Formats: sequence, structure tokens, C-alpha cells
Amino acid sequence: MTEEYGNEKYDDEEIILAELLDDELVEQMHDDLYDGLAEEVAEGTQILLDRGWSATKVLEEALVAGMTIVGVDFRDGILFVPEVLMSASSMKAGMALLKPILSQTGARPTGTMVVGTVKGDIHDIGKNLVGMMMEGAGFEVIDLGINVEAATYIDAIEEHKANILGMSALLTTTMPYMKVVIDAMKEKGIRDDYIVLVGGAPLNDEFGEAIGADAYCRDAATVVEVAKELLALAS
Amino acid sequence: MVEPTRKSRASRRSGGRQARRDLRAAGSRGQVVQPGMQGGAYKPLSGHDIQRIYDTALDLLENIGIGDPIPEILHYALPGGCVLGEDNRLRFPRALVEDMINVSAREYVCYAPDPSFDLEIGGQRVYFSTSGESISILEFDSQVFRPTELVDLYDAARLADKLDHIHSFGQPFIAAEYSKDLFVHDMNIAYAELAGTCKPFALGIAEVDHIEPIIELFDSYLGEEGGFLKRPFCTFGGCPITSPLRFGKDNAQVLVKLAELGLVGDVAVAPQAGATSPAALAGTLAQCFAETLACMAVMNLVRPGSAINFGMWPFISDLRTGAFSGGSGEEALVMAATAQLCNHFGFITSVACGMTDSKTMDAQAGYEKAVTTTALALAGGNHVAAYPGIVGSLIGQSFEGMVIDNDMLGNVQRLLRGIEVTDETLSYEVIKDAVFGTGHFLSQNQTLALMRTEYLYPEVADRRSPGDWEAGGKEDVYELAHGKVKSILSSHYPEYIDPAADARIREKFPIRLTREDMRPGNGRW
Repeated sequence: MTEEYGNEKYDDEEIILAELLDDELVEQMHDDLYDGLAEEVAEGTQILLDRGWSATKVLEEALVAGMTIVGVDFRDGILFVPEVLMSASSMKAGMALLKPILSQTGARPTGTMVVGTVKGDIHDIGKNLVGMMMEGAGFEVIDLGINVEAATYIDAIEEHKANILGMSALLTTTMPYMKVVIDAMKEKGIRDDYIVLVGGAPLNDEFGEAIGADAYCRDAATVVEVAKELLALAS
Repeated sequence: MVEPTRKSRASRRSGGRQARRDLRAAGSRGQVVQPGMQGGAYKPLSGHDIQRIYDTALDLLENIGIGDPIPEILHYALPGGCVLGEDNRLRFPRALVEDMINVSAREYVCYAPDPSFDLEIGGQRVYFSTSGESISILEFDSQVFRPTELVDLYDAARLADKLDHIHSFGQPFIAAEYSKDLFVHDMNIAYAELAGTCKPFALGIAEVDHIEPIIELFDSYLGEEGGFLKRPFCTFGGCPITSPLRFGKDNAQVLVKLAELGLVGDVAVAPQAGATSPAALAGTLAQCFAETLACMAVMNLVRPGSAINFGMWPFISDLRTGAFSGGSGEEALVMAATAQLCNHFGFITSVACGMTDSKTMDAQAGYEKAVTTTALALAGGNHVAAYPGIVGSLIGQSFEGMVIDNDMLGNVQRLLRGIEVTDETLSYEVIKDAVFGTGHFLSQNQTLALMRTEYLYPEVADRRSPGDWEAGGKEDVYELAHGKVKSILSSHYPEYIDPAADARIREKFPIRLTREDMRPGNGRW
């Protein structure tokens, strides 16, 4: 039996997560992440923990693996941005249960990113998307908001021991400030300690290279891919 | 430990990745726009203008009449009240024409081989079709026009079959290799269209003696004698008038035959302003209206209550050369006026657009097709012969153009759908939630619910960033469309005619489309 919700068909078949074997449960959690079902993802996360899975294993095999599928289908045009945000939000629901355990055991997240829209610019939707997508991929994200000064960025990456700095700008008049921030990092001698990613509608690869960023990312999905690649290279 | 998932919550599941991929693969047909969206907002004529055009048309029919009436027409028209003058012109008294207008059908179901593609023709519901009967095809690689062949018609039918915004398949070109044997030609174009599409289709048949054999072919397909006439999924037609104000023998015979059989008459009356009708656009409208009214009157004299696609198609001349210009602003204007005129009287409107004068699918083709098609759809034509893929002022057909124009037709239908203004869509609560919540709308349930029902996404129109476009080899929409054509035509070989019916048809009729032509791996794509 199916029922209509918008134009999507929803299966009405009852699935009791607690009755599934581990591998079936993980597979179902991938589907629940895909469908953006936060409560179900949280429930699955708790069941795996109750069955003795380590938080790291739950994170990697259930949540991150599920979000990787979401990322692939977003790249391929199967999923749209609102759907991916639902998935990311579901991931966060699972992460909320894992975070306290991970911090107790000293396990580190996939990475830590500081993001913000540069000084003079108040456009934040792109930056917010990046934050959500990165959290969905298992990163810890510190969002500095809009109109961020160079000193604020630098204080934050040092305080939170971040791996990645992400800067966003929508205006051609504010994008040059990204170079100001990178130059300030160079002056302090910390530029090479971080991966610097830049993004925003008027930017392109050439601009990213010219100001000394590690990469320009054209959209929120790309940020996740690029961040993972550059982190792997750095480690 | 959390509570197990209850059934009420389990129903939220939508099947995960595989279900979503299947759903996307099934396409978006009908989710944002549907066949038959309501037109009628664009009205280039005033009510007074319409009355004056109407009066002039009736004066033309009553006083000047239509020349060269064929015996088949006289057989019905003279007892019905028409008057044949010594000048061999058939005059239609005003009262007679008005009676015929009153009895003519106002709507009908345009059946399809697959009933889910049936169209409810009438009102100001807009449907797009291919059309043209052009003689050449524009090759993508060489940019050379070559004569069209039977197999091209079959391929065009298969292509239209997979393009959501082409609602019926009018014959886009002839099978030039059989132009010296019209019986073989007509049987084969009927077979090729039947084999290639499950949508309603149309044939331009000029030989009246070919109508019944074609119907027999369709009955063979159905496996039932008389089956086709119960549910006619093919429309026949042509140009029964030679402007100014004369009958054209062959198509006039077809017109009478269609009325006798109780079939829809699909006429196209196409005087060319400045050449075969007045240069004054109002005069062209009056003449063309009179000529098409004569066709309507004839059909209803033969059989009261006949349905006619009132194909009043005034064409425009480029008076620098005398050549037909299908892409002009005047064409959009005068054709939209015909739609308004016909809608005013409740006729079943047939109009033409998209007839670009450009020789290939370039910027000129884009704007000419968009302007003329938008005008016609907004004016509320029922059968809009949108000529998807036609180039060169109706001379040639481009498969890539069909794919590009399909995107355009989707967008034009989106204009027709308009904006739904309700308490819910005004979104007060949604705005409040965003402002006091996440600060954006991307993760709102409303966005999720509307992203595939409010917004139409093009098949080939390129919305990538300049960087991605460069990285992807800088392909333009013409090249992207070529990829789509190859993808569809190399894989979509429907078996709409089952093998037993196919054997019956091939036994009775000289079918030249080979079975190998109708399977993958034939080397064409």
C-alpha cells in the first residue's frame, strides 16, 4: 500500500529497526538517511550503540557511508539541495548521540572547519549550506556568521584546532577580502597549517589560485569532496 | 534506549535510494505541467475588431464565394442551400454559414493508441504537436539538408514518443524515396507513425482513395474490422483551399470523405499575406477566416455535427523576396489573432508556430520559435502545431531541434499554468518559520514538497556554471541535444505493434520499413 505525499510515493510497510540484523539495520539507516528521516536515524544509531558497536564504527559504517551515497546522488542530479539538507539534518540527529561518546573516548571527528562570510558581505546562504553539508559528512563546523574580520577567522581556527578554513563571498567588492585574510595568516606564519577553501557566486578557480587559497569550491557538495581529498593528502 | 519505530512513523519511509532513483528515472511527466493547460490570456483583437472580421468573411462567402467547387462538394452543398454561379464559384448565404457554425462540434476526444495519451480537445486547452510534411532533414554533423526517408519518419515518431511536451505527432516530413508511388508512401507513413509512437498522430493524405486502405491497416493492427472508427487515433488532413478563395481538388475530396466517415477534419488554410491574401493583416484574417469557414460549412453540410480542427493559418511574406517568413513578429501576431477569433466563436482551434526562418538551431531559431510559440499558447490555440525541430521556413527538420524545442514547450506551458495564489502559497507561516528559524527556506517542508511540482527542469538547456561548461568541453545546447537524440534513438525501439498484428499488416500491405530498421543495432544510431 502506498500513500501520496506531494508527488512522492511513500511505502507504508512497517519496519521495526530493532528486529533487523546489524547489516540489515545499517542498510536501512542508509535509506533513512537518504530519505531524511531524523528520528529513524537517531533510533538506528542508538540500537547499534546498544548492541555494543563503538561510536566510531557507527559513525563510519552507518552515518558517513550513508551520507556518501547521498553525496553521489546529489552530484548526479538525483537528489536536490532540499533533500540533501534533510539528509544532513538526519545525520546530525545521529551525531547528537555519538558526539558525547566520541569526545569521551578522545576520538576526533573527520575534521574541523571554521566557516564565515567575509567582512563587508552579509550573504550567508551558501556558507550555511556548506556548514550543513560538512556536518552531514561528519565534520565539526564552527560557523562565524557574516561580516567576519581576518582576526576573527584566525582566532577561531587556532582556538578550535581546525583543519580547514572556509570563506564565502557573494559580491565582487568583498571577495578581495579573502586575500587579506590569507595574507594575515601568512604574516603570522600559520598559512600552511590549514587548508583554505573559498567559494561564492562570483569566484572561480583562477581567483582561488591568485589569492593563495588551496581550492575554490563551486558548490556545497564540492566542498565536502575537496575537503576530504585535501585532508587525505595532508595526513 | 529509544522506543521501537511505530507503524505510523514507518509510513514516512519512501523506499530509500532505489525507490528515489526509480522515481527520477520514470521522469517528471505531468508533475509541473500537463497537456491541455489553459490559454487565452493574450488577445490582440478587440471585440469590435472580431465582429468586423467576421462580417467581412461572411460577406466574402456570400458575395464572392469559393471557386472551383468539386462535384463531391456540390453534391451536398447545393441541396443544403449554397448557390453555384455561372462563374463556377460556390456562394454560401450568410444564414447558412451561421447555421453550420452553430451545428459544428465544439470539442472531441483526440484518441491515442495508448488511451493514457488521449487529449480532450476544446475550450482554450493548449496541446503541442509536430507538423510540417517537410522534404528534408538537417544532418547534425555535416549541417547539410538531405531528403527525408521513411526510416527518418519512424525515428522522429520514436523521438517524439519520449518527449513529454510534444502531445501529438503530426507528420513532420514525407518519405521522399516513395514520392513517385503515393500508395506505398501513404501506407508506409501510416505504419511508421503507428510503430513509433503511442501518442495521437496525424497524416497529411492528399489522395482520397488512400483513406480507406489506411483505416484497414489500422483495423488490422487492432485485429477488429471497424475498430479504428470506434476510436480513431489518427487524424487525416491537408489544405482543401487554394488561396485566394478557391477549392483545392485533392484535399477537398479528402475533406468530404472525412465528414462522410465521421472523422475529424484537420485542415490548414494558409494564404500568404501580400502574395495570396492582402498585405493588410486584417484583410488576410478576413479572407483566411472565410476560407476556413467554407471548409467547416462543407463538413457540416455533409454531416451535421462534424468536428473540424479550424486550421486558419495565415502566413507572412517577406516582401523583399516574396518568400514565406514563419519566424516573424507578424506571424506570431496574426496567428494569435486567429486563435482569439476562433475561441471567440468556440471553434476547435488549430494554429501554427515555431516555423523559424533560420537554417539551423541557432539563436535566431531560438527567439523566433519562442516568440511565436509563446504568443500562440497564450492566445489559447487548441492544436498548436509548434513545429518542434523545424528549420528553414518549413523546409527542413532537425532531430536536435525537436529535443531543444521540447524544453521550450515545457517552459511555455509553465507560463500557461500561471501562479497559484492561495492562503497556503502566500506562505505567511513559512516565512515566519524561516525568519525565526534557520534563516532560509531550503530545508522547509514546503520547499521539499514544491521543488518538483512548482519548478520545471529542462532536459538539455544548460544551467551549469561557466567553469563546469568549460570543463565539460564547452558544448552548446545543440550538441547537448544531439547527445540526447542519440541516447533516445539508439535505445527506444517500442513494440507498439505486436508481432501477430505486424504479420497481418505486412501480409496485406506493401510495408517497406524492415524489421531490422526497427531494432537496436541497425547502424543508424
